Amino acid sequence: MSATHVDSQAEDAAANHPGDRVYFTMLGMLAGLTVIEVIIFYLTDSLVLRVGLLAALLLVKFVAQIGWFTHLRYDDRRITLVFGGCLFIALSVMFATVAMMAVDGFFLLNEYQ
Amino acid sequence: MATFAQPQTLVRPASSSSSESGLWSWLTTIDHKRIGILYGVSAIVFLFIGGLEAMLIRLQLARPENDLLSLDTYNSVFTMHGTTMIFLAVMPASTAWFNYLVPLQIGARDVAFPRLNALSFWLLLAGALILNLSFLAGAAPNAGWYGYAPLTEVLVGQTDTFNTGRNIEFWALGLQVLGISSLAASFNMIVTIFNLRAPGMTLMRMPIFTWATLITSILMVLAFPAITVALVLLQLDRFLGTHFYIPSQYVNGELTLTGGDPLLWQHLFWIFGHPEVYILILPAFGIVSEIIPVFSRKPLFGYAVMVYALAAIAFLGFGVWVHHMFTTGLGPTPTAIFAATTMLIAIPTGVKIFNWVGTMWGGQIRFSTPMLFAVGLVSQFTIGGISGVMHSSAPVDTQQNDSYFVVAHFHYVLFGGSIFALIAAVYFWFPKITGKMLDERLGKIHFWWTFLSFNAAFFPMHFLGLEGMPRRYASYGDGSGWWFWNVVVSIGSFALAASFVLLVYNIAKTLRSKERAPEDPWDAATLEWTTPSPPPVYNYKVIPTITNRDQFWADKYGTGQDHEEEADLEVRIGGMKIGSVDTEDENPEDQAATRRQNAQSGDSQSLGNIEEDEHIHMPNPSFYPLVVAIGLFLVAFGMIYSYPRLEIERLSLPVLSLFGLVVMLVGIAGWSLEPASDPEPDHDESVPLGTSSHA
Amino acid sequence: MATTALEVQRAGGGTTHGDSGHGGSSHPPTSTGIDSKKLLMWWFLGSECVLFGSLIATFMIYRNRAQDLSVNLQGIEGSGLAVSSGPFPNQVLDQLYTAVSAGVLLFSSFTMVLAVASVGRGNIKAFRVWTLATAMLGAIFLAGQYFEYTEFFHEGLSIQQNIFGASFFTLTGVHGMHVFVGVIWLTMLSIVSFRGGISKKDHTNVEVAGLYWHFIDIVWIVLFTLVYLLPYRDGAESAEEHTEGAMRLVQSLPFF
Repeated sequence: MSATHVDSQAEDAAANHPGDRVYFTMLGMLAGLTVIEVIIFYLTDSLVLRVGLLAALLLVKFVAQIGWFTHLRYDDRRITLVFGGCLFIALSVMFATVAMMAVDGFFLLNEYQ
Repeated sequence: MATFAQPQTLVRPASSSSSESGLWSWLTTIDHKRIGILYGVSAIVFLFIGGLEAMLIRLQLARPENDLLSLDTYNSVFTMHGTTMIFLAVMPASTAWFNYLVPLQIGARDVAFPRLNALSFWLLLAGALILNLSFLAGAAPNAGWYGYAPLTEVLVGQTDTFNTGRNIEFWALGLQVLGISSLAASFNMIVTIFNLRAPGMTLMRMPIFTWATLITSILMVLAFPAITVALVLLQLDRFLGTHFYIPSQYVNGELTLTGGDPLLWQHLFWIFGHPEVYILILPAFGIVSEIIPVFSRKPLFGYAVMVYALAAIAFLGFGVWVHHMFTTGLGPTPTAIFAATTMLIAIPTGVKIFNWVGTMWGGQIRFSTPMLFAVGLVSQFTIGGISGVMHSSAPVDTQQNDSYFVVAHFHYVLFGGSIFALIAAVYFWFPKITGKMLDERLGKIHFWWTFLSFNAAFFPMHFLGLEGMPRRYASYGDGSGWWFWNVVVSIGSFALAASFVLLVYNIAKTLRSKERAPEDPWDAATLEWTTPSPPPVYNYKVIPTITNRDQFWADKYGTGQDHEEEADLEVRIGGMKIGSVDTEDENPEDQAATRRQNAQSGDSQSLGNIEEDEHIHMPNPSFYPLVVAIGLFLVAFGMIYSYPRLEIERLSLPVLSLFGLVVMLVGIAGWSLEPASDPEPDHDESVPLGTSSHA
Repeated sequence: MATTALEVQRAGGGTTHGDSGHGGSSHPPTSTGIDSKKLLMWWFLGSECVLFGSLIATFMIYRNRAQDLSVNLQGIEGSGLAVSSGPFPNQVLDQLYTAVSAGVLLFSSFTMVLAVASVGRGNIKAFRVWTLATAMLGAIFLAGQYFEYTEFFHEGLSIQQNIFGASFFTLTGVHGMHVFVGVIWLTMLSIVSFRGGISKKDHTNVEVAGLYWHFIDIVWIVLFTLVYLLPYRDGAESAEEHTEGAMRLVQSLPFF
């Protein structure tokens, strides 16, 4: 009985996850995005464009990794809640700290121009 | 129905970790109840050490211009008083109750990771040893429990600048080890509460103390990494000559302006530090929310709102840390924002106070000792809470900052809150742990003694603060006018310290007495009271099924709802008692009576009731957690006493740390290879157990 | 007392484990249906968010400070202080080199999912290949980091040199240590599998290692953007606007 459970469970787990082709696509996409990031770094002079594009790409790569490679998309919703909650608190606290401590630094982007 | 052949050699008797009493059995125990007791005893020991330090402070301040303690000693004593009370007394005491009660309250046999649980305790002891060995080395931490830079800093190569001794090493590494201990314990508690609840126990049926444990553990998980990083950066500053927290440092032999900022320490420290305040108080809220309903004979008023209030306090707790930094000149915008969020916290906290009052309102109140201390919390914490709201206003805070008013505030919160509740918990759950009742008459004397001396010790601090007496000062002038209230405070403090002697006397006296307590002496509502006192190592012979928030009350008195549910209850009780069901036509009173009789006749009696198919695998004792903890202790200690060193090219490594690392790795290897540590050794872990439970 | 009674019970009852009693009471299902180890790992990763968050915040606060100081405080007379000097990020960071490193780590994430998938299908041979590949790629990343650090040392950037060096080495160093732990973990897993210790039922154990590994990769994705790609102030063009911030630092020096 237990043995069959192992089997069916493992199959469930496999069925629950995307196939290798999806992973391959994700890998291609992530690698492509990384190349684009480097191209942006070398080609664009406009600061706003550079920061904006890099931030957008970072977000896409982050979601792709966490959603597909760590299976968050296919896993229990409550796990997303756990990780998302922790990430939210970490991000807000750290963003506030940087904003308070580095106003004379990074966040005054217009100083570059 | 193929059952795995069970290798019996791997399964030691379930009782081996609880019924043996030798030293070895305590060193290797992974039973959550024993670990809880270890936590509790350590907490009491360090409470006394911290209390001793407090007494030294009060002796020093008992008269003006006193020179009983040197200035340096005074710094060490107040630093260690704060550090000890927070990290070694109140937090372990809370963790003791988490450990002892949570598995019992949720109907589990142990925590999710029993060996990790043991590791948490041994790491607590390791960290505590590191912190307190500093006294023997004559280098006790001396920069305050908040360790503000640059009080903690050194200039590389200078022997006379800032804090050049080993004092801060002891403090920083001790706290790092304690941080790992707390993190491990909280991960364990979170997973236990989410995953090991008895069937039918939904989140909103959990006892409120379990909720408090869950929320506190989440706070620890998210708060401790901040101080870990803060301390790592501090150690890099001290060991490697970086300059995260000081604006200049010797670079290539030249004093150089590098741009480090002491405020970064304050931010990182208080991002941890403020949630830490709630880590200290939320377990107390949980304890009181368990005790007040029992002694009012009413269910907790507004259970759901109490849960939301806990969560809201925890969530907001991450958004208020800057109120510790109002006087650092962050500017009007951050100050206004954080003043507002701080005021917001008063709302969920006030909700809790009113709900406790609402629980008592119209109840049949019995003022037994646990209830006295619980009501003591409601009154005394409210005073501390209100002075807290005063501090949330930045202009008021600017006046009161660094004065004794603040000292009064947080002692009302931490003593009038946390410690009152922890004492209430001792009186309340002592009969469950030992099977003996603490002396009620002594208990009542203890309460009134504590209550009066506490107020004598701390209320005058409000006056001293408003008169301008600064905190952390080792002395004050003759003409300052602070002498009178300081004497009152000192007398109150000594009386307060004596009250703890009374508690310990009561415990010792009770332990020596032969008189057995009934296993449900308070007519309580939660599951732990259905077990014998003390509970057997496996807690429940049959895992109970839950249909009600106050399960045990429902068992005893019925739910007053439809009949179907009543029938359910009976099955449940039968499950706990006998293991099979023939009880459907018995009424709840009979069930409760059977259970009582059974428990009184002792453990061996009830063993006869275990059905043959009822094999209870408890995890084996293990000494690897202790080995890992010793290894980590040596690693940390080697970094404090960094000689002799091993020189490999440009690397210079302390030998003791390397040795500790080896010990740790050996421990981890043994841990992962150790067989049959799994409570379900025959069970495939990748299978969600739910699928086979009804096989 | 109780002990002996129970022992007898057990010794005698070993063969009588009834099927019906098997799951019901002594194996309570996990209440959430989520495996405990997996849940633990996710909470650990949540905790790591704050850990790396603190380090990243520290880095973001200090990333331009060394350059700013060197420009704005060059001429401070009579302070007896030298002013923080280079190398500065624009002089040392090599985006192309690190892009390759990032690619290696990205690829290791891919091999990791394949390892998890193979063990889920019971294909232990494939599992070995992919796990070893992942560990190998992690080791290559670490080697890359070692050469990068060496290169920086040669150019004069040490952890003490300036505050950029301090925060750069700390942030990437802590990440590197996490990679190192991951490499050890995966190596141990493959050693165990060669000794026949891994089978289909260890899916969760492998998956948990995988979660850790992916998280480390995610952290590097963030670091790559924030440390390497986001522009740094050159220092040279800016002057007046920074003086205010720089002066605040000078004013905080009374204890010298």
